[in-house]
Amino acid sequence: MIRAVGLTKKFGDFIAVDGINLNVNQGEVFGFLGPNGAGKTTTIKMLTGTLKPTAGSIEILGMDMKNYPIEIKRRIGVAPDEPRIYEHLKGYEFLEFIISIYKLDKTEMKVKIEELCDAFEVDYLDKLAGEMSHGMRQKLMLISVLMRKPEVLFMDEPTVGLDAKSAKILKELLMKYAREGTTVFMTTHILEIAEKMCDRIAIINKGQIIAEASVSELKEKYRASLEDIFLSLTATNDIKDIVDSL
Amino acid sequence: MRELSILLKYLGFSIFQETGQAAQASNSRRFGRRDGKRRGTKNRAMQYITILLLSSLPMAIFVFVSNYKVYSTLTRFPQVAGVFFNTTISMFSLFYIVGFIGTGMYSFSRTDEIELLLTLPIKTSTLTIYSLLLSLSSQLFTLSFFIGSALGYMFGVHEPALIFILRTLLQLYFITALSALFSVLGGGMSSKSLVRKLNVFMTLALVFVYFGFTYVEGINVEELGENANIVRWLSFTNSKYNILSWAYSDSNILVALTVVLSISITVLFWYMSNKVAFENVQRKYKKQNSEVMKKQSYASLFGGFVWKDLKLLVRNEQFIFLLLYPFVFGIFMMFVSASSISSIMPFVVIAVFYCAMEAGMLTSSEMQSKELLFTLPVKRSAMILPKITIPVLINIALFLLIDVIALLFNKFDKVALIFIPISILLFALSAFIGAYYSITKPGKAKRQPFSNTATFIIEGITIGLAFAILFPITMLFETPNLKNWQEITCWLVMVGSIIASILLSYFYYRKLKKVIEVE
Repeated sequence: MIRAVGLTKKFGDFIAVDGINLNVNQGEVFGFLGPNGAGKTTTIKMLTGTLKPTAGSIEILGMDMKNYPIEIKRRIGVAPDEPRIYEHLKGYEFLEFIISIYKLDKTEMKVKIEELCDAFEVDYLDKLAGEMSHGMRQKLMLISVLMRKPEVLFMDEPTVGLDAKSAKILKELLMKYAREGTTVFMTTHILEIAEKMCDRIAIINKGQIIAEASVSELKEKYRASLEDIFLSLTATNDIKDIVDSL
Repeated sequence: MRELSILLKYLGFSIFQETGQAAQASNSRRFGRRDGKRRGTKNRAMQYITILLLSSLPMAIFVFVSNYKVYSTLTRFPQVAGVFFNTTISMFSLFYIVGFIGTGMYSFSRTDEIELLLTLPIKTSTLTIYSLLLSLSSQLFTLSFFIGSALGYMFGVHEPALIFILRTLLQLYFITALSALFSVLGGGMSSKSLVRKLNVFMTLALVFVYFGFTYVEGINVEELGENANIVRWLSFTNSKYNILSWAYSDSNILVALTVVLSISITVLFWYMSNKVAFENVQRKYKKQNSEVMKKQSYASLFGGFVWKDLKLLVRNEQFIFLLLYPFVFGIFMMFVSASSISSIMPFVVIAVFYCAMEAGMLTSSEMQSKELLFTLPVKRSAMILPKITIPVLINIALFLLIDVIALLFNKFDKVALIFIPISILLFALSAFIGAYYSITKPGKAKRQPFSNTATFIIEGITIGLAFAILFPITMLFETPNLKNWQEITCWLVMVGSIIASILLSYFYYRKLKKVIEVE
């Protein structure tokens, strides 16, 4: 479903992503973890065709990203970390814009929208996006992606800004979609989410993947909690020393 | 005082500056500087006021000069001058009050900015004064017209300066107090977009009142004095019930009443501001999702991007201004001049620059959401096409509308038809340039599509070429007995500029195509 070989992205001299390889299977929930600035968002941007890689190849749903970017985009769904929605559009207008761009069946989509709005308690579709809070825009963005039920979902920090109930619903929904065959590629800073949801995880640091396995395999290998494993692999200073010095 | 100066220094008059997502994006860009240089914080309020003063001062001088001329010639008719002045001052006072209330209602409501400020150890009275200053700053443009007009009258009819200035200060205090009271009472009822739209319409209205003055200037004053209809119309605002002219009344009772009213309103304002200021923004009734989703949508009919861009056009007050200003100016010029050529030329010269602004604004709005845009299954050309075609088509439509109006009023000149293909070429060039520079040289603020440098380049190319093509045409058709060398020069300049426009259109089209593929 998702395949990347030797994926590299350079910004001038700075190497944001350094020749990583990824292989995510159909129906899998794949967690992509890493500290801030590790290269998670850059990787997602390359995998979703919004950023051209400096080197390497990407294959989504069996199609090469270089040759079929539009076809791939039509079949995947992307929820970016910062939901930048056109400020001058009202909530329902944004959804209609998406319906029009993806050439979806309007009647069918309206039913889906109503269901998702009820689930996420979205009652502000008549409001301008520019007047919405981050959480409100995040929910709207999720609805615009989930209503299509794409074959592959890329979620960059999907629970940020969501209330506890909405976050729980989203996690359950993603796992349900995965059971039904949707592939989910997500980044998160909340290790508990990764532990509960992901079939496999990869940890990226300074542009390189430093660990990749299922949570149980990692725990078995390092004999520690996921948090301790993550910190031992990515943190340069001892947390206790930092706290003591403050 | 310290709190107030901190608010002014760091927040400035932020209501009309960038907000929301774009501000976050802009901040992240700003804080993302890698050169490690720290710049001292400039006083934002001072910057804002300086820019506003610099832009409104020339208008104030123009208003002063034109008013002075009008009132100087009316010295033989003091009653007419008085009536005319009362009308003017009532009108400007009304604009001031409406504009002030529009901004004031928003600044006295519980906005995101106020929400944050209320968590800080700042006195509510300081926030009240800050909000008042914020509303006041938005009216500097109107104020400059007001003062220009008042001074024009004072010098024109030789009013005693001290008393007149005191009356003017009283009038300004009175209308400010009145506006502040209405603002605090209505706080929470207006939205940010309503406030902005209101300000655009006020600005447009003020500009055309000024045009009205310049028009009046050409009229025989004696005829004006004898024209019963005009005097009747003007005397409407000279009635003793016109509260907005009491400060200038000959009746001491009315002046004293203005003083008493001003004090009472101020007391009432302070009392009410402690009670109701900074309350939650009131919303209209909330519509159910099912009801909202039933609305007829034209997204599929027009295509997603065209429909979305048209929405921006309708909802953005800057857009409305950019379209209305050259159009109304063109209509105005048509009525005060002999033929439609005289109205079309100024229309095209202004509209070509505004067309670039419109294309720039549409493109820049798209670029603010580029993270979303790039995930959509569309080619970049599908996104950029409406940014070019919408401004071009709308400006052509306005051009034709002016011609139709000219035809209806028997002012149409067939020579104006020559301008149609030239306008299409110029508008297309403007749209390409506008879209290109909004991507490559975007402005710092959300509402500024280009950087200052790019704005100068765009102005130079669009207005320069429009003038270089249209002026020779007007010369060739409207000036009889041109000498041979003049005729040849006109042809050379015109043909050369048309060729330059075609070449530049192609050049910027290529550059734009390249840049949208890279972005």
